Amino acid sequence: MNGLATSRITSAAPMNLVTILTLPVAMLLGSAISLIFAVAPREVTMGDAQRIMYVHVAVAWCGLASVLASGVAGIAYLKGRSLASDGWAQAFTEIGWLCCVLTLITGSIWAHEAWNTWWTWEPRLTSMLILAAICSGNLLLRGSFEDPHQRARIGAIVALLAILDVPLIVLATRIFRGIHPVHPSMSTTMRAVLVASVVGFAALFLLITEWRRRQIMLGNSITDMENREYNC
Amino acid sequence: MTSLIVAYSVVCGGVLAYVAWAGMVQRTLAARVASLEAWRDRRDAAEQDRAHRAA
Repeated sequence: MNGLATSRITSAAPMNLVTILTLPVAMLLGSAISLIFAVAPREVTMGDAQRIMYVHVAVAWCGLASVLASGVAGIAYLKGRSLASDGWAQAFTEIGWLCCVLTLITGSIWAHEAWNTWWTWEPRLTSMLILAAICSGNLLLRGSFEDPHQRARIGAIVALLAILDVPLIVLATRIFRGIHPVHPSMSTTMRAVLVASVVGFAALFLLITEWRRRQIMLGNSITDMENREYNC
Repeated sequence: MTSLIVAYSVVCGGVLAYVAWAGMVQRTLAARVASLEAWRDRRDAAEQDRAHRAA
């Protein structure tokens, strides 16, 4: 019964950690959102709709960071063949996908307000769409393999492919000259609120990533035990 | 103002949907552990029964 006892401990641990961190993260995120609506100045041209930028940019940066982190975890897996690294890679890929999709939707709403169009095949938008598609492909491919090591290997390779798109997104406005501003002008207060928003959302997504990583690791342990127990 | 509310609702809804899905995964994992425990209990009981009969 030792193996099962271990699984009981590991299944209880992530909930404890998440429970402990939930309140501080909620407070951090709550403070950031309060700053967005109460402290950030009302922009003259766009009015209140400009406040979309604080969540759009924060989610976009979190998405790019998650994709980079999943690539780094993928490299760690390919080097060490440890499923612990793959747990990080999968959790970061899922969060990266979520952030990419949210970035595209909030960006589309922003575009409608600022440029009077829901979508345009502008370099940054297009490269972000490609990143979302790569993340979707990664998750679909992962779901199609039973063997955890085969799943981890293909996930790591696709994560490395996704990494290549990140500098393209960051530099798109400078290289291709799209309609995204290259150096957006912001007051000091706006910058401070944007940083607070990024910190708040980063904390939220890190908390969820850690929760999912532990779930993935627990799922792997349970599958191992099931294979041992039911097949012996 | 409407687009602002829509944008924040989308982010909130997206994150909540993902967390709800992860919560379902957590429940599925708990059910698998419970199933494994029940199976082990049955196996141990059967082994004890066999040992008892053999004795």
